[in-house]
Amino acid sequence: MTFATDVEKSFTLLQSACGVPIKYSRGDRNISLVAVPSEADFMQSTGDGYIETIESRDFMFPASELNLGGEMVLPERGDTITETVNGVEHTYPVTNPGGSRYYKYSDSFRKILRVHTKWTK
Amino acid sequence: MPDSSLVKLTDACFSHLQSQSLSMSFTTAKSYLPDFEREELSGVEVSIFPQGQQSSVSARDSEQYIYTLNIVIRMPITPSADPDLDASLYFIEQLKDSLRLTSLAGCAYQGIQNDPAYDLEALAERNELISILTATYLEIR
Repeated sequence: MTFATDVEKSFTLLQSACGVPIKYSRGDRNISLVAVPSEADFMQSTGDGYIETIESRDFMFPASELNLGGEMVLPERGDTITETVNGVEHTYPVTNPGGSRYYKYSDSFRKILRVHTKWTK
Repeated sequence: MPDSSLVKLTDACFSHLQSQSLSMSFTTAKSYLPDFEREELSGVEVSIFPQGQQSSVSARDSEQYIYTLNIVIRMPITPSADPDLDASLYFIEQLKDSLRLTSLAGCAYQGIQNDPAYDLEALAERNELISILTATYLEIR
């Protein structure tokens, strides 16, 4: 067993211990996954004459599980993650904070994806 | 206590915009602290707040006052790889045109700036269109 597979197996334990069910959607395609959410963070943006805050949240799951329409894909603009909290659906569009990418890998072997989202209702 | 000219102008702008019937339905608010929460935004919101004033002598016995108001337009945009803003930008143009050449609270319309047309960062990161109209009015007294 390589260290890379160890990482993936260890993450499976984390998923079963503190994962939440989510629906990952792109257009009319979607897939149900179990993701490990980060704590909610609030970010402030200031424009010319206004201030705005938004809840930011990341979701982690194995890259191999993001399979839409029979092919493995990577997160991109326009995708959404829906989490049901106390019976209420919260939809988080996938976003790129600070002009960065929409996701990053949480390990050196590109096994675990960390997807950046913001809650927009 | 009487209101300042800037507040009277802000109130008049608020009432004017509130009475408009445009291509999108919207809510209007007067605000002194434009501090918003993105997750609370579910429709088109227009907020008006006073931005500033300048005065200078225009004649031996009068001054001219230049007042500026900021009109912040916010609307959610459906997450998409390539967002379509055609209808939103048309609405903003309608809103801008509704103020065109209209005197408010005894102040003469001077013009409106809308540059940039929308906040690129808000669109990219928050799936939201934010556009700011800066309207300028003149009063001589």
